[in-house]
Amino acid sequence: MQETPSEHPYRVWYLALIGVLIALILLFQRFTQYFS
Amino acid sequence: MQPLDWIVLCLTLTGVVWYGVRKGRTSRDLDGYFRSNQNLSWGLVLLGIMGTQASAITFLSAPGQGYTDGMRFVQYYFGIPIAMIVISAVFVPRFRKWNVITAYEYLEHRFDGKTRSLTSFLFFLQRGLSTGISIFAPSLILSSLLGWNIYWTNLFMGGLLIIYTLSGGAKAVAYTQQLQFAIILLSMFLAGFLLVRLMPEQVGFMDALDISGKLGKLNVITDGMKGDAFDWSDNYNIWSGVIGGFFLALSYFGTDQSQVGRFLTGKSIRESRLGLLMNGLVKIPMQFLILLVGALLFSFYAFERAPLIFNQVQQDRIERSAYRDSFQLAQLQYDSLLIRKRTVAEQYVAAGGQSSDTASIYIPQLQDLQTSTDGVRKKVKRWLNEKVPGGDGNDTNYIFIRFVTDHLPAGLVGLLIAMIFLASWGSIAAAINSLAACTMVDVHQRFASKPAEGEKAYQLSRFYTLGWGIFCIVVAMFTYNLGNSLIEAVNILGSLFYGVILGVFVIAMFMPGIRSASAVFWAMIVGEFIVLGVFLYGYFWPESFKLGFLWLNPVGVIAVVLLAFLFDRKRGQEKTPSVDGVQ
Repeated sequence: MQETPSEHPYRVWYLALIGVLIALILLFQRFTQYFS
Repeated sequence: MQPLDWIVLCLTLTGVVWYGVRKGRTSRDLDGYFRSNQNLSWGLVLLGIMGTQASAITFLSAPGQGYTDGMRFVQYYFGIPIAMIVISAVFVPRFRKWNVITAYEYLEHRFDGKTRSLTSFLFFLQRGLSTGISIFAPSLILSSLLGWNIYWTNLFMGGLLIIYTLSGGAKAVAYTQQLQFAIILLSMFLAGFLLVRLMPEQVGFMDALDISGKLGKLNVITDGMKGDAFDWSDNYNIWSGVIGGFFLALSYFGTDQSQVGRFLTGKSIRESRLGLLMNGLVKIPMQFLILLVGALLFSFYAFERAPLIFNQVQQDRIERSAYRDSFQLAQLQYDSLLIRKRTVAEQYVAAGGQSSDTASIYIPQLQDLQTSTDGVRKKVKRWLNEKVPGGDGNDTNYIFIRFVTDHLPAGLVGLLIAMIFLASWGSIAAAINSLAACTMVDVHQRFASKPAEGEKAYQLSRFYTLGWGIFCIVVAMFTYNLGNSLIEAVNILGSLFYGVILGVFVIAMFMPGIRSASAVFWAMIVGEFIVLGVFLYGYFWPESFKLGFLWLNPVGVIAVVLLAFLFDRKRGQEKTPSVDGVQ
């Protein structure tokens, strides 16, 4: 898909969402370890 | 149920129907009825997406899963954020560019009519039957628990929502989902809050978490390893969740009309995208909290007498069977184990729990007692599954609601029962609306000699909505007679089709080089047989190879994509116009 200038702000949202997912997984891992 | 519960239940349900009818006024044409004239904000899109996915079983089953298997079920949702990104970036602009009402309409622009018809047929088959089951499954639980007549419960579970779905179409569905979701979240929050308050005085929130964690219920992240090897039959681990869950979410949210119909109501591409991305953001934390209620419920029952079988109807059944004496013996054994478990749990908390080294001596004892109580439950469930006529040992869906009716105060029980109805209505209304949309757009308008317009199309759409509503209720009524085998069959049916349908959309959107419509059509047919083959092989020879159902989705996608590529190469020059390059 061709990227246009209007796509640009969405890229930030997409990266932020991936960042949140990774952060959640790491947080859950700590949670699992802490209570096991 | 107390009179106050009945008042709360009736007021909530009639309030939602009234709200749906009032808010659902829209233009009397196809665009108004099925897309709400594409004028909804991202908040309504988000709640529509969430309300459609979360059925009553989600709220009943997830705490039960947390109680029995632990919180690892949350990994099932890990693929959702990535899928939301792909749908926002690729699917939404293409659907909007072609101004489609249904997802399958797009396939005709890209390939041909028969590919569109086959995918919409698979959608009718899967969604039509599974919506019947979404009416029946919570009805069965409520009728077992409260002694209600199953046919009347089915009628209220699947019938009342037709009033507003029929009158206001997609707009009514969206506005009621907003109200429903607020009530659902409030109810779950109150239930979770009271659950912690009902624990013994000396047991704090952290103690409850601690006990649950020590007994393996806070296993949020698991790696799926069994010994030294990866367990392919394990459904819920980080890999099946991220990879298998991604394909499932992409397929469900991107190609299932019940979801596509929600985000196409957004007033711009931006609103549709925001709704989807926000779903990716909040879904996992929400499921985490619902599962946490289950894990806390587990700790609650470490101090309280837990039922051996949470489904009272099944308990009555075994007490009337030849296993009556064995069951009574098991019950005595279970109760004495529970008393010992409670004593050890109290000693553990009194000794300082997690923060104390001396308390750790109680952990092996607690774990042994847990293994023993699990063993008794397993034995009784096996009797129910294998020996007792009409028996069903799976009581996961009954755990949370049994706690509600046994321990929560009057009024709140009514609210929680209303929550089950509303969660069902949210997904059933969206399903019926989407089934009617496909019937109207993919069948009627396409095959009629003269497509309907304006008011006539609107009236026909209402007629199909009513027809699908009745069909789903009839399926729910028949399910009662056919039993659990049908529920299982329909659930499996979904995972067998999703991968193949997604495969077609993947080719349509990501592989502009494949232009032969026939190649794609035949790849779908052969791909479906491959998925069926893999599934049946694992079903009949589970000892040699069994694949967890989440993995069937990537198998379907990969099979269709590879086969279409091969067939396209072979067929060569049968060209259709490319629709790629969406700006």
